[in-house]
Amino acid sequence: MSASQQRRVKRSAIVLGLFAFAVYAAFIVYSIQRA
Amino acid sequence: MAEHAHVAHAGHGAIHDDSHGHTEHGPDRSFIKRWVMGTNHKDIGTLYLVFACIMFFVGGAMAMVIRLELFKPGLQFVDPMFFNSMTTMHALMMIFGAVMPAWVGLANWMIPLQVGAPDMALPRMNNFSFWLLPFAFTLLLGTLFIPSGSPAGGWTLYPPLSLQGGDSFPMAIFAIHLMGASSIMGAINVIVTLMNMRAPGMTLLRMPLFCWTWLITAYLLILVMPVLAGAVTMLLTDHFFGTSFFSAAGGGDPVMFQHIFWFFGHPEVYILILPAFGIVSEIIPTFSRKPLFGYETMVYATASIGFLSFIVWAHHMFTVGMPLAGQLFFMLTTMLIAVPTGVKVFNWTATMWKGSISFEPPMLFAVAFLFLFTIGGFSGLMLAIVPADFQYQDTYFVVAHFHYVLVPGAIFAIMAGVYYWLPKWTGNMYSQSLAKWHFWLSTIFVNVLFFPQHFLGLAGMPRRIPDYSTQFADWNMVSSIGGFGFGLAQLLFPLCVWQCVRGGHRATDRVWEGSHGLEWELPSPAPYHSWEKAPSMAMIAHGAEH
Repeated sequence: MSASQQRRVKRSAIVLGLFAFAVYAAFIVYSIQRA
Repeated sequence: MAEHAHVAHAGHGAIHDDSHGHTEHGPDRSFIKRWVMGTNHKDIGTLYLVFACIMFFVGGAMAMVIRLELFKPGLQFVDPMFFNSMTTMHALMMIFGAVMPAWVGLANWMIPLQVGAPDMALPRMNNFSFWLLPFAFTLLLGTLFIPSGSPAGGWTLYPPLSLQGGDSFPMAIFAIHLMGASSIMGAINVIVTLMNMRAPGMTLLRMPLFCWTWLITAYLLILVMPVLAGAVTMLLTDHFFGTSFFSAAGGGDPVMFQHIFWFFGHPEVYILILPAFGIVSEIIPTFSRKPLFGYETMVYATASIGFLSFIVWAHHMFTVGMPLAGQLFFMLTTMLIAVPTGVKVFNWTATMWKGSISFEPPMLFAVAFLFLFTIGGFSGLMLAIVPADFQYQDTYFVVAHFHYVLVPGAIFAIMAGVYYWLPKWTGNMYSQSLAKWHFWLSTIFVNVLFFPQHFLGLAGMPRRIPDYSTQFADWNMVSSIGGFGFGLAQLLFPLCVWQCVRGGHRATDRVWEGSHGLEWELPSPAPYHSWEKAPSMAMIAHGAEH
């Protein structure tokens, strides 16, 4: 795997992981506001 | 094309210079290093599949307890609380322990082979996401041995009932968090692999449909597993930290849990079935000896189903009460799903039309999938009709519906996939007569098991009860007989696989006469390290003649 490919792999994984965490947080924040 | 032949992955040697734990020529000889610390996609795929198979039999044993108790009216074998635990645990084991890990196992094995990648993009994370599962399920199954018993409030974990679950409650929630983390990591791995690791020339619209359906499934997973995690975290804080997200007494709303749960739960249904569509789309062209009819429409139909899955969730909860506009919206969007699903069913049928069809075991399972999944789809349309749903809600009709979708749907497709690729994995051909016995017994008994449940539901038998009125006795007995037969027939599956792993006739590289796609360009068994040199354009173009 080339260095640029490795960077792309890492970047995509981090973005997707952060996105998943943001969804998790968003639903809790939404529920706090509703409750 | 010669200049394109065997284009090496740029700097591919780096893969083996790093510390992924590979050995250069084959698997590590140390059992622990290979199976516990290993990062090879084929080994991890095997681990997932073995795990899924074990969970399938554990969850299946729970189903046998349920059918045994329901064999005749009255309480026979288990007390009602344990019965409720069995229905809850059976669902959790089958959904999170059997079907989802089986799909991830097949993805691990096949995605790199099908797109010409040497491994998954994130091999260490791959190892970690698998090894979370045994801990999650040890924790979940551990609830069977604690004084308060296992969770018994249903797999949907609706509060306030689920909050009364005693000590099993936090154990189950922790287990669900672990499974969720595992699924999210698995999904990230699939997306990153498919977006970054495809061989040169393997454009998105040349990818096999199994990869496409898995890509869309992985996006669904990333979007909804955190929602489930959020919901169960809030259940946990309601139970232990005095919050009132879902407690009406504290100003919260239990119905909000249902909305959040089903915002996860409905896409989850498609997470369980989309990869099945991919597998069937691989198998039907192979055994019809024709290209898949409407490849691109299949991709768009899958994406449409993925999108629609996010705007139908409240059809699971029509009876909680909602405005008429809400009922109409969720009814109509649900019915809309029949359009892309119909596109798929017609495309599979058109693929078989005038084909030179042969019925080897994978094709038998795929054709059974086509008929029986469609029955599940039609009963889903019936359930989408709001006034009818008010009658069907919480009856055995619902149980019949989702079991038709999941058993001869998802599970038959997993069986089909294993029987399709097993010779490529092991290098040996399995006993086709044994596999056909497995197929016919499964197909007959699955209908004996689940079809009568439509009648029971229409006659008003509620789900999740250990005892019932005598008017339901006959069909329950038939259903239980079907259940025992189906359960016993499944024992043939590991037997067939085990025999194949141990030996048998050597499989050819292409295995099936009509096979197409990159995985069949590799020798059988597929080498431990495959596609270290990227496949040629000619191979890719040949495989992409969908």
